[in-house]
Amino acid sequence: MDTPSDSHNDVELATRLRTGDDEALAQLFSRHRERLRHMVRLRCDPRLTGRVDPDDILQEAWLAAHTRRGQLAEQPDLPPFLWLRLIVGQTLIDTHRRHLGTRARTAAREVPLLLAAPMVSSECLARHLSASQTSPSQAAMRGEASEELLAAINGLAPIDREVLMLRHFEELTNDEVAEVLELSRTAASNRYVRAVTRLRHAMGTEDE
Amino acid sequence: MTDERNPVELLADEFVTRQRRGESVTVDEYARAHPHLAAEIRALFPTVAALEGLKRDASSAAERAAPGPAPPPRLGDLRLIDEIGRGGMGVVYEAVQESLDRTVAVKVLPRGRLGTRGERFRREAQTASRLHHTNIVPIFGTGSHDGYEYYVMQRIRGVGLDQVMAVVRGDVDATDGHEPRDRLAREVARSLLTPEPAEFGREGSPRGQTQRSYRGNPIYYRNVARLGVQVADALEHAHLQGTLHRDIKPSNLLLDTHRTIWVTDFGLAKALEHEDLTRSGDIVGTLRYMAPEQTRGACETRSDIYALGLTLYEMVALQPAFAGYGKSQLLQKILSGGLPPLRSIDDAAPIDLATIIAKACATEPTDRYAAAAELGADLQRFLDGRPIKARPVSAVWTVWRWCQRNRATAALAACAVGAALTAGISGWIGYGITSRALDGERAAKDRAAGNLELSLQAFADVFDQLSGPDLALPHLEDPETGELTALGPVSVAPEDAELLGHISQFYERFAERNAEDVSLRWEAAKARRRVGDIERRLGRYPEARSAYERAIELYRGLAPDGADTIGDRAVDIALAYNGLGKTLRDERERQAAETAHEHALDILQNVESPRSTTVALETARTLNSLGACEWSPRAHYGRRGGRWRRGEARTPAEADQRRMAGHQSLRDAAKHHRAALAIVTDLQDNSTERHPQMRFVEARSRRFLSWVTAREHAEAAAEHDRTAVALLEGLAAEFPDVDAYRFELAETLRHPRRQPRGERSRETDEARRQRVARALELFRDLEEKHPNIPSYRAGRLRAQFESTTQTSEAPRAQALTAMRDVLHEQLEWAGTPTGHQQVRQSVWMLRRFVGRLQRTGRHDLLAAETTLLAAELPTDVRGEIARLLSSFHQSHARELEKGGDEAGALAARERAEALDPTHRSRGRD
Repeated sequence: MDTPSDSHNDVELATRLRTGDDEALAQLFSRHRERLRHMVRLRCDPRLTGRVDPDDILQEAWLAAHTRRGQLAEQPDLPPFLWLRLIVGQTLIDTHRRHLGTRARTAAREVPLLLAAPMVSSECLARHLSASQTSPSQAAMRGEASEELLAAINGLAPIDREVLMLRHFEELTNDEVAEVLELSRTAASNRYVRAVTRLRHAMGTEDE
Repeated sequence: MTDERNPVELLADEFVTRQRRGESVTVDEYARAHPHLAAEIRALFPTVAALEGLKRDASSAAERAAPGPAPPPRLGDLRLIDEIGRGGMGVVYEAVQESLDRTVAVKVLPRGRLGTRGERFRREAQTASRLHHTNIVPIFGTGSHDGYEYYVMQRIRGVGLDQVMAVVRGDVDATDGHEPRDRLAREVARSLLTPEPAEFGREGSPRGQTQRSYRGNPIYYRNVARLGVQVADALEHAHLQGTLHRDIKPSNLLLDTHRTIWVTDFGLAKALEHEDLTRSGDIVGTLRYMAPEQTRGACETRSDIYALGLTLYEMVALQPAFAGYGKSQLLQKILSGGLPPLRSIDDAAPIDLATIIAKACATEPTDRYAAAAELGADLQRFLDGRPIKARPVSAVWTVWRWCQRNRATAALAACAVGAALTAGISGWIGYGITSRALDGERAAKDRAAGNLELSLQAFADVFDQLSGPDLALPHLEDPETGELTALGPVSVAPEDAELLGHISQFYERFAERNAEDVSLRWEAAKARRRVGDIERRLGRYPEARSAYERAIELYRGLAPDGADTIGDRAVDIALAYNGLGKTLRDERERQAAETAHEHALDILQNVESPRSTTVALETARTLNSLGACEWSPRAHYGRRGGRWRRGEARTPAEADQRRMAGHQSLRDAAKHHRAALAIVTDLQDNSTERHPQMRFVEARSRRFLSWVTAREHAEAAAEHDRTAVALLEGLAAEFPDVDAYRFELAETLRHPRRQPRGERSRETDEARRQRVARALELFRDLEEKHPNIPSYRAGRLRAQFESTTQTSEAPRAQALTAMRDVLHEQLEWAGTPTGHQQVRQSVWMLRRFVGRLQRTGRHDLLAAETTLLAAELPTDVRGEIARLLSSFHQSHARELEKGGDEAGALAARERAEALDPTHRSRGRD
């Protein structure tokens, strides 16, 4: 199975891409399309719902990736997926700016550059989830539990929330998270455990 | 620092990865396998699993949308029993109304959905409850309970046509599903294969025996027509009562086993409004049946007819009319009328039936049946075997057929291989390849033709994405005329414009290779014109000009005399000419601009068919442009500039002559603007809804009229001004995201009407001041939002400048300082065409202001301030601006002389000469 951590293919594709093989870029993009789409959904401002399709943004990002494919060669250490993610993030920011103008949320200062995407906000997350309940019974069953979890996630510090979103929603590996947040592997790993612990405490305060 | 990962994190990672792979793993298992970490594992893994669960929920069904958590089992008098259906707007339950002990159906809207519009929802439902018709689901009443809004209707033992069609299409296995609803759907679907009792034994029906297939089955087609007659009848009834449905689609049509069809959800779409539809995620489901004009916010009886036509189309074609498109493509398809002829999908479909359906779904409302009753009558004629009234309109549809030819695919491939293309283009092709590959996974059918269509569509989307028409407001956008792009600056950067230029080159090359493909060449010309629109918006006039000229050239190749008598095409061509005209006007080539607009007018006036709203609106717009050529501030100031250059009029006779000429051109301008106003007034009188674009053009006509008639008909001018402001305030409030409206409002406000001298007072001054302040605020917002658009910045600077000269009370020194600031900012910008205009205007206004100070005798203040100002004005500008600045120094010199400061006057005069050596010869006059 093609899991994100199975980055062998990526490396090979990146090598081909760096030698000017455009087809490799197309393959790389298709490989990660679902994850990238996930990211877009998660980080797209709720005010753009219905105006902009995640696919629209991916399409634009694809164009940008193609135009800027030379950059990858200049940064041999950057994993290809993170490079694509970066481009998608920038496209997303541009889209926000275009549609929302000055009302666009600017990325918080404390967030490292490579994150370069709008932060996951509580509304994003809520909308992301509310689009998902398929039947009343299902919704009712899950309703409370996920409401609570959601509230807890939203109560976390932005950086903790980011770590959890990156790991669980965007399915980044620990190393990728480390790269994105400009941390060491150890720090990223510890930060993750800390974020889960805090989340658990935030959820547990009521029933304990 | 070590490179070790936290052991708990490592395990959690493994735990999650295995879960994602679909393995069943438990927290307990991990806790037992790693006893030294058991406590942490038991504490944290459930949270980790919950996070994953949350993600799965979100992703598994992100496509589907549901209106929120379930309502309580009871809503007032109603006991909810079971869910019987759900749509974008709510969930329908079977319920028992206990007071009357009857079974009813209740549609429950998600809590909080309506916000403050609950009242409106109830009103709509009330209107709908007044409809009594055998084919309309009766509404008993509405209610709200604990935040849920709902309405109660008769429980129909039927099933949504969408579900019936799923069975008919074979999407659902005929034996699938044992829910009563599935059984009912199957039964209803089967009933569509049964002839009417009277038809047994008629020709075409297989004597009493039920045929199993739908396609090619005459009985099925007749049943489709029969259902069409019923719905048309119901619509006619509602339309006569002044109620529009607005959301006719299969899921809103319930079919029972007696082949009676029930229309439900009358008017609900209106109560919920666009944004809610969007939020519900059902936008595609709803959009699919939306008439082109409806996507722009205009809905009329013919929009319902269109939606019914599409539903019938789907029943005959056994597939949705616009199947397989995402939102943006879908919109484009709808607007371009890209509906394939029915008989290209099902060649066994009766010609007459196909023709009737085609007429019902014509893109242009005026091409459709004028009333639902007419559609019903034509369907009845088909059923009776009598000649129908509709005529084939295939010409409209051949337009998009090129994209289904394999030949074109080959050409695209050739294009891709001949890789002498720019990065942007190859990038696009790359995208095409990817999306083709991805598409291949989804459906392998229709490869060649479908893929090309997809590619071109993707391409068109890229173009749209970059060029603007804001998909945020599809109901306002009018891609046929590029209306929003033509009026409302979009946020684009010069790089975007370049990429678009490349793309449109690609379009042209592609069109060249398929020269016989007229529609493709048409698209290429249009793309060019749109590039022109963007360049003009960015203030890059030479680029804009060449894009427009190229577009016109392409159009010429398509129609020998560069004109076309078909409405939409004429509008396309006129848009190119008008764009060129406006660019020329911006470049102050007044004569050439006029010629271009006259050309556009000619083309529009020669349109034979259809003389649609679009044609009329574009005509009005052209007239306004022509008027503006006579009068626009630029042309106006241009003449002033000319006068300075040539010096003041030498004789009273000459002055008179000049004034007369000015008056004459104002009168000519007024004529044009009046004609434009007449057109839009007429349009609005004859349509049920006042389309925002109509109001917009009306406001613009009035703004111009108010300017040009201010001197001769002060009262009327004031009235025009008031109406224009009111219209624009309305539009700006209604559509806060449309920059074009706010820009126009700001432009209108920026020009407060000048009070006749005797009527000026502190109040009128204050009103003027406030008005300009509001304009300034609007411009500021726009500029902040779109820093790339020069006209916003220009507007802001002009308003800022204007506000400094506003009141007679203002401390003059402050006013001058403020003016100086503006002027400095403008001068930084003087190298660009827009900046150039700006500086000219400001210097002119500065002169006027100085003149006013002179008249009021504040020489002391004037001398001090102008000295300061003069010192700061740059001396290294050339050309016209230099001459204007020079004239400022001249008058400054005169001023100083009056005050007895000979030395200062001399210095000022030297400055004047440095800027404009020719000034010397004119000297003092």
